[in-house]
Amino acid sequence: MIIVIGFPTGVFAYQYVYLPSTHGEVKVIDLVARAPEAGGWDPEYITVDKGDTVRLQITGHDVVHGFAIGELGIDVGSIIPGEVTTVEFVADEVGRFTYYCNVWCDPYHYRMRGTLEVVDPAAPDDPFVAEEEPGFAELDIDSPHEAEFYPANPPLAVRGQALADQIELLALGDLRGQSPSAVFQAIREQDSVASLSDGEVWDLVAYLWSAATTPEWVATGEALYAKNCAACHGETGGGDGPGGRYMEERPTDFTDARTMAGGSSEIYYAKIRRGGMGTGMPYWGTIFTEEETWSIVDYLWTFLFKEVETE
Amino acid sequence: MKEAMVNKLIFVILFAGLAVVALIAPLPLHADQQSEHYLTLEARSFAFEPAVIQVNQGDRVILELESVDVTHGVYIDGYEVEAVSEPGHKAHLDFVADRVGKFKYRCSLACGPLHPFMIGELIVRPNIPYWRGVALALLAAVGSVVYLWKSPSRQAVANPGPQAAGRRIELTRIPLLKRLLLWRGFQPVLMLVTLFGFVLAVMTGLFGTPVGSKNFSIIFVWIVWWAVLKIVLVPLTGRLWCTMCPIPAPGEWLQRRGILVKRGGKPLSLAKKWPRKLDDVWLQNFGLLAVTIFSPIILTVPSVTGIVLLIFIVMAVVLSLVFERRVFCRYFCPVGGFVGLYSMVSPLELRVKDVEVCHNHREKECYLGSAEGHGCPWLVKPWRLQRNAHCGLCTECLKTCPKDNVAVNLRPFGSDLFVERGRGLGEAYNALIMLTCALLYSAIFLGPWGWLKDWADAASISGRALYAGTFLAVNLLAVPGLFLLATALSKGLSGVRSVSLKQLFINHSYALVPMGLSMWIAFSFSFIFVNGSYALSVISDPFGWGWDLFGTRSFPWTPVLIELVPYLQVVTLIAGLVFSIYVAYRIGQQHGADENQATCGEPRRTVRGLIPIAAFLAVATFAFLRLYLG
Repeated sequence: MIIVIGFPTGVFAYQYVYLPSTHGEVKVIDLVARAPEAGGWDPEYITVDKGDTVRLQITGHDVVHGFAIGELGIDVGSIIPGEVTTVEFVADEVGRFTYYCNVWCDPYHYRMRGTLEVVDPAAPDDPFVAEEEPGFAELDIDSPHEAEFYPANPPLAVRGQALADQIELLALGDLRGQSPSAVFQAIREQDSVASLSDGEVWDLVAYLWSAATTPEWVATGEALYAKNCAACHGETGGGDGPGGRYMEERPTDFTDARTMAGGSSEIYYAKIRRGGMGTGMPYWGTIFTEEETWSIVDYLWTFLFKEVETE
Repeated sequence: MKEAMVNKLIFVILFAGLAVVALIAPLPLHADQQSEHYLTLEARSFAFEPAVIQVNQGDRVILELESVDVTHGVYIDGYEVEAVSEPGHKAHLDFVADRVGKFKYRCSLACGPLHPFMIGELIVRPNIPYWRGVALALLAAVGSVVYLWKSPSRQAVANPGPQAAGRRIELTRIPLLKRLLLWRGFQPVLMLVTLFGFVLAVMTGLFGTPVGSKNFSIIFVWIVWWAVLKIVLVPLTGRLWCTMCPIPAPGEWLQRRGILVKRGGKPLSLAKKWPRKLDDVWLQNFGLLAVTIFSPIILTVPSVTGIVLLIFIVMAVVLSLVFERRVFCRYFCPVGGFVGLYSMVSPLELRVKDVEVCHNHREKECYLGSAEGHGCPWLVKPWRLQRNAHCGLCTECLKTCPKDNVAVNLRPFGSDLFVERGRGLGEAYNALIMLTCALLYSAIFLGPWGWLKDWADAASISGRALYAGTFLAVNLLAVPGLFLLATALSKGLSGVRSVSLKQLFINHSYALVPMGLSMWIAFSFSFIFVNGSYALSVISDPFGWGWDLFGTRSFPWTPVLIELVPYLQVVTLIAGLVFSIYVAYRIGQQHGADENQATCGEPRRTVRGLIPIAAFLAVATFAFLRLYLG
């Protein structure tokens, strides 16, 4: 009797009564990770008070997952099945945050998201108002944007820089809203570059793009790309990541100059934040900060433009 | 006579010499020119592509691991190199294949139910260990048969009577041991310990993490218990596990209305008699097949293991409330069936000392019970006990016998296999099913064939039905059919007429018992060294809830002594093969003796009849060697 009834009672009492009593001030939340087809996050919605010290105890039940909270900079790395991964943080910012799996785990991997809501206990009834994503409406995000002009060979920013020192370019306006194809055309029509070949003009475009960002910024984007995008778009941007195999429409191949040169930074930014309508591209607006999104866009351009000659 | 001895000695030396040659001779195999292999190793649940990689010794192997569905790792046995790839992030391995043989590469990160069976094979040629193993097995088979041909024994083994004669060491003469066995608490104490583990296994199975490798139930039932049962308990102590098995304990204690009671009043049970028609091992055979068909799920999903264990214990309780004694153990327990069969090999037995004493003693306390203890729970009449098969070593008869006429003995391995009484088609099939399952498991779970695993893991009902149907057909028709063919050939070659083919089939099946047991031991070697280390982490965190009872929770998965496994397997298999051939020969001799003719005049007929059986055994051995080493 002791073994058959007493022992299980003791075990459950220890786990569900004694252990929680030792947590003190810390708000402990058990979070279970399952592949989306098996249910995704459990729970999918977590509410804590502003100022709470929150300890998440995350367990995977099937395959390796990841855990990160968008906009809070929390990324705990791999969630190994059957092991308990713990992360502790202070919820000092009111708002809604998206926690998500960032290790490809399932054909519906990108649906593995949950919401962490931090409410102000002083004003619990204040409705949370999400910031509107500005400016997407007037952008034509979903139309195909094949470039009219695109480079035959990878343009080099260093070569473009050398050329730029020798010639005078007319003002081109805000580059973020323009595609490389359009900028190429605008430069090509200027008299000062009449003696340059198309390739050299492309080098100039590459230089302009590289001058608009910094290596650190690109490195930030590269790390985010590797963690969040490579599973579908491929480690080298070729659109050949394993995640893409599950999709009807192949993920964009960033190494395809004709496609890349036709879009603007603003378009890519909007696509990342809003997601691709009718494609497998998820929305990232609730996960990446605006700065992070721009850094990814800057990194994407390195698939088209090279800083220096490689190999 | 002396000359015969010398002949035998010369023969043994000759074959031993050949065996040494097979072990150390430089084989005329040499690696071709060394080269480099650039390979993409694609990992998906639960297979690698390519599933088999063949290289030559000294080649450089550069592997690019690409997981395409979920995160996988790859670990190569023997080379101890590992890489992990998340989908979208390739990983690289670079090593020189300097050691020859077959090395399994396996997924090193839990990736779903069949993760432990996600296995590929690296074959580094020349595969010298395999060819040496094959040569040794061939020598062992041929040598045994030729040896028997050269010096056939003219005397058949006497069919051992109930009073085991011959080489026996009575263990119960040791006073301390005898006192222990007579102690009422002996069995209950063992049972309480295992019952504790059992309850924990059910709880962890039902409420713990669904990840098998981190769950006490999977690790301790299917890795630790299974390996200990197969490698130690059954071969050395027969049914000793049944002494301590927790499953019948609650039912038995209810029946007896107490744990330590010497003698129950009226048992808490309807105490019905088990129908005679069902006095057979067939129910256990079907139970075994049912468990093995669903083993891909049972072995890997903790909740299913928990449910199966619960079903077992509930069945045991219900059956003991309806029927008398331990009907569950005797007729239902699927494990009990083959443990009983294989216990006949073990050198431990419980027998009466002097049958005459029993014949002259009418009270039969050992079966009916007395003030000192309960009548045999296993429905065995001790004075008729000739084989271990149905004796659960509960030691009640030791306690009840007023004449001190029961002993526990050590004896030569395999003695019961020659006992003709009690043989039956049910046991013959049990032997065949166990042999077949050892081979099928090795191919399905430990082989490199992903399609087989997909099939075994089939989600659809039709896929599962097809798998189950094929599994059953191989077990019940194909392998028994082959064995029937071998038996028929044997009958023809030996010229035995007075024994029917069916009876020959039954009799010869007992020769499969040592072989089957050695295969299961070899099978168990292949996982206990690889996955045994999980036990350390789950003992600290049995539920996978993040406990750390003994500080070993984070002990990583560490395969140990893997290089030894193939050698242990070869030795075990060859020992089983030789033992089985010997048993087959002795069984054949009994047929000659039954023939009641002057077999002594032509003892070689028995050896002729042995050849097809020996060939069947050798083929099974080669199949096993091929799966593990080839």
